[in-house]
Amino acid sequence: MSELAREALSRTNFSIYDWGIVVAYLSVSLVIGLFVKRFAVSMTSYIGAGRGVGTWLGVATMTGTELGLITVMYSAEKGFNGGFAAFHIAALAGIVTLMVGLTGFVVVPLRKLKVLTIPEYYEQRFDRSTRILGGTILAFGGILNMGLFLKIGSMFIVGITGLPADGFALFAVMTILLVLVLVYTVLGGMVSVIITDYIQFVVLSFGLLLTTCLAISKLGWTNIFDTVGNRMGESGFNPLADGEFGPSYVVWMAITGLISCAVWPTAVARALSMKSTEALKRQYMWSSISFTIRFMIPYFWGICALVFFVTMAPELEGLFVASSEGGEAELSPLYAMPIFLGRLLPAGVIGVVSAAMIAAFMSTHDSYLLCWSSVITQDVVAPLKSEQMTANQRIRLTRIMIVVIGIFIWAWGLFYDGGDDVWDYMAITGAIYFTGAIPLLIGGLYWKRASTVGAKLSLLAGCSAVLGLEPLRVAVQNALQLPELTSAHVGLLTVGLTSTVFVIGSLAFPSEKQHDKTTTTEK
Amino acid sequence: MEFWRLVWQVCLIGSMVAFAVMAIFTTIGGARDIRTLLQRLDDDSK
Repeated sequence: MSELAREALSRTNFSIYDWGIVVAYLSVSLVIGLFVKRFAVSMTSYIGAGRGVGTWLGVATMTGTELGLITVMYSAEKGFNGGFAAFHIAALAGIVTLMVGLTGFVVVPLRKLKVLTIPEYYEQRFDRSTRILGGTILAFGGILNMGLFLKIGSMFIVGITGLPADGFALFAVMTILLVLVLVYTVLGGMVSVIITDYIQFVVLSFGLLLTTCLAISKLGWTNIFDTVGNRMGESGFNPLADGEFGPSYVVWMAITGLISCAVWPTAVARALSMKSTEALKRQYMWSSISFTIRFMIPYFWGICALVFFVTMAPELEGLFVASSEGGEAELSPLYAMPIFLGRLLPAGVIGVVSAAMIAAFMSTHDSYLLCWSSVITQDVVAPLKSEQMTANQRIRLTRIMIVVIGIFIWAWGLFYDGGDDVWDYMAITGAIYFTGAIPLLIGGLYWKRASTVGAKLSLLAGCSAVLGLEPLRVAVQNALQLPELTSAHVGLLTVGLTSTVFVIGSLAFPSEKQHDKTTTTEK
Repeated sequence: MEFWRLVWQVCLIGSMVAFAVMAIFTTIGGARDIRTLLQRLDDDSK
């Protein structure tokens, strides 16, 4: 790493007072998480908070979960690379979530069935083996999907605090953050997660709005838009123009917007925790704002970082650009936003914003860890066992799985080195599960001829989405000599494939008994 | 380009105002919901 890069990373307004704010915040979260441990006595309260969550708490926990530090980081990277055109992803996410809230599409029928996890629905609608297969694929895709959370979140902490990026610091930050999250998630389960999510929401929303206002006042509203226009031209604003995005990418983002709110298990887990379907629909309508904001504000921060480097620190701009000989950029664009914030925010404020970002980090990790571990317990191990597992055995196994998954993401973050944008990595690893799950959820809930064979074929076909990961995608592209194959192309092709095999499998091999009770058209 | 620039300006301002309002409602209503939830879980555990 050059002296310039080292200097860029180490120069920040982060002070000892800011460390104090961060440590105080982490301690409060930990104590509250431990305090509610006594409520985690049954599996329903441990992974579903006793299905007693009201609308506003539901909105807070949904926002806390889905607006993670990983979201802030990859979105800032998208904004830095794609300009305002990236806003289309935020707009689509908000519109789709609002539509789900207004219609109750997928989530209301699921809540009415009183299932705790999506694979549990697979068993009700199809059969037990579909639940086990679906649970296995879901856990695999989901855990892979959160594989980079820890590393990217730690990169933010390193970038904003000025810790050395090429030394021991990243490793140490990853380890400390992981241990903190593991402690309160393992002990308190969903009750602990929801209450800490609420506190994290309050800190996070304040931090997001304050930072955005400060960025605008520092760089100037008109200057931000003008600089992007001069730098990127039409493609900096129009998502359909040639550049970072394009029509197929926009369609892929509309699908991922629907998935994020109505099919993705961590979001659906919130829907299943709500105390009534009316509260659930209100939760989704309000959450459409946070589903927009969770992308839009970090995109804007990434754009502001670009404008800052172009107009106020041009000597640093070259650090994020690949050399003309095809070499890698000296610093990942992921560091652009934290470096920018480290110089923008004054001491004191930077501690609050860092605490807010750590809040975002923790609220996502706890929910994801709990979600995937409960799927493994409830939907893979328990159905495979011949004798019934007791509540205590299930809670113990879920806790063990939380720790195992935590260790995996720690190791994966250290060793995986793919070349995808983080968002594209997440979309494609998530697609391993959701491209297969879309037909099962939508077809299973709204089409009475959906069959078990069609369901299993769809789940298996969804695994082909793994070909969208950069190393595999490049290999396929070279082997088939295709002119262009993006992760969006692979994702869309997989959705087409899973839907086709689901319909053909269902028509060719109908189930022996129709599960009419779970088909909403029958109600 | 001017069209898209205007669209994103309106979206950004509108979303931030809506989020600020939502954050106020959620902070107040969420605290009330936590009290109800803990009461309910306490009753269940008894």
